[in-house]
Amino acid sequence: MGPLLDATYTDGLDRERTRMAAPGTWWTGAERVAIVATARAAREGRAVPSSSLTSAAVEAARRLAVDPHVDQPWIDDLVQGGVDLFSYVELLALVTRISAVDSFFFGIGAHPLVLPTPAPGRPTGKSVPEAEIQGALVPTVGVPFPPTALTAVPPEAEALGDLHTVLYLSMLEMGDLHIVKDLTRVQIEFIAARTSLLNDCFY
Amino acid sequence: MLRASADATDQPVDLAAIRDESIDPGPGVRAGRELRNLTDAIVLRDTDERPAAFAELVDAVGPAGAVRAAAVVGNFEMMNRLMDGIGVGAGPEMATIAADIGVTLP
Repeated sequence: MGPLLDATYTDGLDRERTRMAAPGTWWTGAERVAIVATARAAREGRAVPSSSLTSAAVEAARRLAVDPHVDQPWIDDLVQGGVDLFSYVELLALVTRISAVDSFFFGIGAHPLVLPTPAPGRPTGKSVPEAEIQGALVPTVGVPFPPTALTAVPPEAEALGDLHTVLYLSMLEMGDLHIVKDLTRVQIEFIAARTSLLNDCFY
Repeated sequence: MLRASADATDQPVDLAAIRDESIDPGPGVRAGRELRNLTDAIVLRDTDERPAAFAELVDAVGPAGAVRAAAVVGNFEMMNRLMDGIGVGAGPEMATIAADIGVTLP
């Protein structure tokens, strides 16, 4: 059992659970939960659970959970396997967010977030025609950097922004180098830098 | 952002402490050793070290600060995977900071 969390965290995590289970843009609720479960199992070194996901989707979730340093040939194989780039963006978004939640819960000594029951319904299929490849492996609206990374699937970009605010800082708060949010900005950025170094992420 | 926030608040930080556990980050990062220990325990999924690392951080910065530390680690586990997952790495402008930390950009 971990420490009690205030409403900022619990409300944010409740929103994340609800999003996880709902139909997305390209994946059903059941597929979204399966992607999350696959990523979680891979990160924990367990066998991935059986699901309706294709082998390409399973490989994507597994790989992103344990070694996200992917390249063009790997992406090409994924597309050949039936996971198009826009579906990949949504899958990537789900894997990244469960990695955040699971790491957080592990860190505070809490039991892992219970994965939700998938909600019925069909994916929206709402495409973003203005998203295009601009130096990244995936299409983006605008030059690829953190705020635009998921713009090919706007609901996932919004979800990222929400969880980013809950766990770290909002876009507005990021402009405040003097902010104190339980820790000083310097302490917060020290943690961020150390995490990134350990993950071999040099962005 | 670490360098920027340290400069803005006039709190000296030794960037090499990001990489080298033997280096104290400096007075600008209060409880730097404890912050680093919990960060490492979480990222490395060290079930043996995590409880003590969390407890020591609570002692150093209070429960809210320790929870925030875990939350920040979580956020950057997310962001690291995101940028690697879309294939975007550090640009050449990061070379100076990388040198200060003591790492070589790929």
